[in-house]
Amino acid sequence: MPAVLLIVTTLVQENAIPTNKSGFKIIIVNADSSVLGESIVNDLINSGYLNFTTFNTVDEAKNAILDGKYQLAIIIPDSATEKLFNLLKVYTESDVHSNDLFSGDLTGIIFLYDPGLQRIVKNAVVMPMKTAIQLSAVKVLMAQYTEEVNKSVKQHSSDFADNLAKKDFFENIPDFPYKNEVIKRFSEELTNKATEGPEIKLPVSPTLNGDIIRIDEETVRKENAEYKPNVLQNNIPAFTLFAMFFIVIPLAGSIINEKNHGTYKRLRTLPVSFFEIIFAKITVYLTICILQFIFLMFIGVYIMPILGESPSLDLQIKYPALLLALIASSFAAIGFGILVGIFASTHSQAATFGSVMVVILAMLGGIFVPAYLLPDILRKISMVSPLRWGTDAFLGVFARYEGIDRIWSELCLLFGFFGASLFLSFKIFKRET
Amino acid sequence: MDLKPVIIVKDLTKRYKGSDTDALKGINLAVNEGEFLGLLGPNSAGKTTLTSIICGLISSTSGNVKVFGKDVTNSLGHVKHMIGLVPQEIALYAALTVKENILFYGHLQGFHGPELHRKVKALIDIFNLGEHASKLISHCSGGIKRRVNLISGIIHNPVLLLLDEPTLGVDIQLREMIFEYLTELNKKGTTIIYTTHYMKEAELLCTRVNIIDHGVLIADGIPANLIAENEGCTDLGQVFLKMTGRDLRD
Repeated sequence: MPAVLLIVTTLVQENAIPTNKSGFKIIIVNADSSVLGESIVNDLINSGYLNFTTFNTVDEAKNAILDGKYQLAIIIPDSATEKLFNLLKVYTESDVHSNDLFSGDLTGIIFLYDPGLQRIVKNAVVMPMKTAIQLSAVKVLMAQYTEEVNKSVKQHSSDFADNLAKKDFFENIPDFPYKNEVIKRFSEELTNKATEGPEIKLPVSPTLNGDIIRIDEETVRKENAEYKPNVLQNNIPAFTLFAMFFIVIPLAGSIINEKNHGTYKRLRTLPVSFFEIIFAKITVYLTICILQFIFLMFIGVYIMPILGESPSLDLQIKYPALLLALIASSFAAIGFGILVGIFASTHSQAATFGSVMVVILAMLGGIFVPAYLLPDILRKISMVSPLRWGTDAFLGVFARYEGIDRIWSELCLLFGFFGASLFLSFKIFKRET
Repeated sequence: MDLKPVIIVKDLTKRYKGSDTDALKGINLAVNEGEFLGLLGPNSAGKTTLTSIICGLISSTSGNVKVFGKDVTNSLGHVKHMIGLVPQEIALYAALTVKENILFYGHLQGFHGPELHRKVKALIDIFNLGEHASKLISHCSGGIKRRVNLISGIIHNPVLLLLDEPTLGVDIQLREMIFEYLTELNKKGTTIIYTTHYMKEAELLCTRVNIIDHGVLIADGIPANLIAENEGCTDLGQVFLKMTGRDLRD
């Protein structure tokens, strides 16, 4: 077990920040048919540090995020390039050239977030992408400015040369030796420069003080939904689930006590069935799970806002979905506890196996690091972790404000795990007797 | 008078998984209503295996066991309320008090409310546990635990009572008390199967004894008859040693 723990912990920690090898996936919807959109898409994809996929419409992107398949979408609007180039117009028509001119009506790019996206992960990903987008826009803007100005200069360079030749720049210059020769040479040089046209560059640098692209951030939500996910919506349910699974240790311990102290032997001679005995345990431990859940919710709602600057846990959620997620997760934890209790012979076996397994399942389940950040192999293994199903169900309820219709598959898996655990426990028990 | 058989065991064998020998080798046995049967044998002889099969705790490899006419493998559930088991282990919940343990087992036997409380109080009084009733089992002495262990197996007045070394580790006073109580129960009609390593107890209490060794029933009879039938033996202990030998067992 310690070897498994070591491997899983190392792999999980190595992937705590999203990379192109993790399952963190970003959608780009480029509605701009011109250079800015193309440049941003190319720059982001060619950066190679994250997984980008292009989608055609915003609705497709939103649905993919709500399904939990993608964590973020970058929406480039259809008039992005046009709006960016309008800045040039304002700039060139102004008498005062300063970076402040770029604070006008900026092109707006939208970042759409998965409601379940953890803040720390979001920050790690978003800042470099924002910088990359600004740089991409500056690059496009400078290229356009240079091209436009130089084109204009080239178009009118003959006029410049003619006017220059006509104008007597040297009439008021006092006499000096070789004056006529010098003026002739100087005049030729000026005419040549005017004919060639100067290389003009935008007098701003890529390190602009202000942004030239406005980035709006939104959390994807279902139609008419009114909520503002915060960090507690992720953390409280996730760690409540983690705590819930630690019920494995006392539950398995009570079964081992009964096996070792003869109480179970006596119970089986009484006019009660195996399932009545198990049902009694389930009732007690389900009650404990529910009470523990209520207590941790209380902390999220009332204690956390007092302790820090975090907002209160938002409970404007769908309660039937919450109740089912709570019961299904509790049942899965209880089923696992019964299985460990039937399987193990001693307390130390149950405590070691139970606690290490819960930590491993929690790591795989996305409690400490989101499941989409896990390396490919662990992500595949995590699909069979009941804590992953529980986390997905709770995140659905608390972070995405989903109802039963969106989390039913996780609920089925959790109840299925409970049923399978009981069945296996019964089989092991029958085999032992 | 024709006595009704409470237990009928026919050609019973048991081999545990992974073992290359049979724990029970074709046991045939009948226990009649009202008998006080002593089940004797050295360690690993097969006594606990036999009582466990009779109680339905483990299945047999072959053969047939009927308790109150019901096959233990299929329909023991119908007669479970007629059976009481007092295991050798202290089969109690350490986190519950003396009274709570008895209430718990009484409740599982189908007693509720005032009837259950009346029964519990009566047994607590009989076994002189009044001042210990509120003590946690984990804080009780070995003697108290033995008493509660016994009460928990008899609270429902079973017709058939199986006791596995109920006097293990108890003092002479408590032993005498247990003997008196069990004798009284037997007189009232309870059939008792009593497993023990104390030959004196079996000789004193039992109306019949069975000696098992290496999974085989090697003796069956009234203690006095077994002593008389074995030349040179003056008590059941000598009969036992003569039949089972002096080799140490597992």
